[in-house]
Amino acid sequence: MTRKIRSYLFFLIILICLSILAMALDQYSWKRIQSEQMVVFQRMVGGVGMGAISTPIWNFINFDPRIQPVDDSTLWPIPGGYSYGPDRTATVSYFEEIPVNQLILQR
Amino acid sequence: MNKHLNLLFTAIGNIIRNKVRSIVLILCLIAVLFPFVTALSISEGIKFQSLISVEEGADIYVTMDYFGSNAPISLDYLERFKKMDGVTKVFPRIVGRTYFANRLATIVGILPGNLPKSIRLAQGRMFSEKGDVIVGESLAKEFRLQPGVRFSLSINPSKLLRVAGIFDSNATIWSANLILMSFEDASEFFQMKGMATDILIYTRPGYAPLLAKEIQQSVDTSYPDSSGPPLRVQDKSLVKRYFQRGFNYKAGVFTALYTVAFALAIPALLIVSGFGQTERRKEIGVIKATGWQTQEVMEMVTLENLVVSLTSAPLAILLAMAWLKWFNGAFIAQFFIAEIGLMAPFPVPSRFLPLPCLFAFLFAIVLTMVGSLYSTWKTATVPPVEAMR
Repeated sequence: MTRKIRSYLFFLIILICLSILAMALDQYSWKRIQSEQMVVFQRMVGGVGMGAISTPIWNFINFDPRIQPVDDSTLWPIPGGYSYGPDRTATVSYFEEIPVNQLILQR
Repeated sequence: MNKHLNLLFTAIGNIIRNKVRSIVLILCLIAVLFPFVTALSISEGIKFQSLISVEEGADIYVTMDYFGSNAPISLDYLERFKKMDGVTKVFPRIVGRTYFANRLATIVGILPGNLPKSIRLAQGRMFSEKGDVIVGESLAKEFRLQPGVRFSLSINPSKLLRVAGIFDSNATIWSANLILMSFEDASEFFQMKGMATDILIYTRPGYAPLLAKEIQQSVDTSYPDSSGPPLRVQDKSLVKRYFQRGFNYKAGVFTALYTVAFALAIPALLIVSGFGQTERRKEIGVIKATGWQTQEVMEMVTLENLVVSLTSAPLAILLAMAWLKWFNGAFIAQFFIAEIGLMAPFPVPSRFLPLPCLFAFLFAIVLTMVGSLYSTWKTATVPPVEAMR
């Protein structure tokens, strides 16, 4: 094993350890530091916000489906067609109205 | 064991000897893995915040159902809900939207009794007087709002508001453009006296599904004003389903789309790895001429790919982490959080979990294996003289 190979192996081990350590620190910061403020805020407002958007720009469903679970952006400009809301297409969350059975058959 | 270790050292030696080829390959892998790791970590960050929003939210949300959509509910229902068995707390809330200059803001109105003592604000204090509001840090920064600044908005110019405090940017992404005020102020602001966007009901453990059913069935029929539109009741189990579908479905779509992108990256990497193909052919020809078996050549190339992947995946993870934590996901976060622009006005939430990082490594190894194993096998099975030509 040459010196260069040893150095590369050492670099690789450092790199992997660094990544694992960074991930562990990230986990710790989420659990200990950040969540406290979030919990207090959400308790205060009764739960506001769920999706990957900070304001209900096009519709409320992707911001928080509790406030409005209906995606009215599919009603225009082409009724029943494609939603033009950018928050419906490119983010890491996507909320849809959950169908509720409202059918009551009369015998 | 010694044989395998020697093959590993030879593989590392190959990576060091063919510097340009190795660097190009590692850079290509980082370019492919970086957006993948970034998107999944942002998704996990928002998912974490969203889960807190669901868990700390009410057990039941009641609104009116106007033509199939949620609509404001009368405060007359409050007393009726309070008397129901299993209910611990009931309060009305207003959630609306309005423009603050050219920036869309979410208005939230809550009862002053809900204000916690432990909330940390970036500046100022919680509201105590009529007209006091707490604004999000993003709004405050953009419009240079300070505690004490008075303003009104065109939706109701007669309603004068005063900034009492500014939210800490670590609260959630949804507090960045939020204006929090008392329920009474929000009612006056939207000119909807006696109405709330929704009524929030907190119950004893286990009571929520039964109460939700009871509210839906009995209140509709027995309330004096039952000739009006029906109620819409959303309990926590329904909200949890929104959450699960909202993230898992989209994350699934994202992973599927990314798998397609990976599939397209394979031929690109084949071309890139063919960058040193002539050298590689000669190398294989030489080692075959010195008595190496095809199996040993394949093992060496596999180990080479493993080392390259073990280098690329942690580098991509560290790069994504540095970009998101130090540069707040500049230029890239906008692809995953809608409408935030090139520079996010709030701390972009990102959470690096082991599983997505393991996926990144697996994707890297699959890519390099697909890009090299077949061509290596093809070269290793021809006579060494032909391979070296």
